Amino acid sequence: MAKHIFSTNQKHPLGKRRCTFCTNQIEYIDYKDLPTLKHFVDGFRRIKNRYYTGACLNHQKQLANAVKRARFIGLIKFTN
Amino acid sequence: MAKKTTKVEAVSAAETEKKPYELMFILKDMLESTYKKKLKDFKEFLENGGATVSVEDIWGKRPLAYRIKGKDDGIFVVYNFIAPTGFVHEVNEHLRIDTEVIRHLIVSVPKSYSYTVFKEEPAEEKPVKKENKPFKKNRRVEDREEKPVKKEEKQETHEEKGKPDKANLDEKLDKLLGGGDLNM
Repeated sequence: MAKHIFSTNQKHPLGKRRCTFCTNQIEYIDYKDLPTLKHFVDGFRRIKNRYYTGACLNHQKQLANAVKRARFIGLIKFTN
Repeated sequence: MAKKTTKVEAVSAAETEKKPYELMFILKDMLESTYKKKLKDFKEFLENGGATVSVEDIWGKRPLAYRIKGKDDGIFVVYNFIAPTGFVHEVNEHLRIDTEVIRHLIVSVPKSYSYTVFKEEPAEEKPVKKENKPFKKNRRVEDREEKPVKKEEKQETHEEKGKPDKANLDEKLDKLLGGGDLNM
């Protein structure tokens, strides 16, 4: 996966927000991809809401799954 | 009876269907030669079960994000293989029983998936302290330079003390006891 800039889409109004995964044509979100996953985790290590990530429903579900897998295998902390 | 046989056939057909999987597990920290031997055996176990291993990636020793089974770090290993669905349960059981495996995860992967290595961003380097700081001339610095010399002297004295000459001791004792100084 090439380097992508994952913005939280907060600059755009609600109607014009687009999923960053869709625009970059990413089909599968890998749980080993820690540099991208860190953008979608809170300061308290909680998974960010769809309102903040700007991801579509399909990708948000994949994302949550990836974060949970990474937590389980010991790549990411559950909490601080 | 005919119905039953058809069911069994259907189940076996579903189990022999091959799918791509990704397996990651964490081994206890051990010597490189021992874990390589172990992984070689494990790969043979996979291939004997009808799996075709496409990727074997050994990440090596890595710290865990949190403590698992009393361990702070482990050896991460990743496998990508195509295997019949029935065999995956066997692999899962095999890893569950193994005491040297801290944790494992088997994930089914889309057919278009290709293994990629993600580079972790290097941790922020702490500002290195300047090695040769211009010290002000303190007494302490002078003391530090002198100390080792004193130690050597002390060691010499210890050696002398450690081996007391018996002849000298006897003479001294004779002087003390038979010298007439002591009037009992």
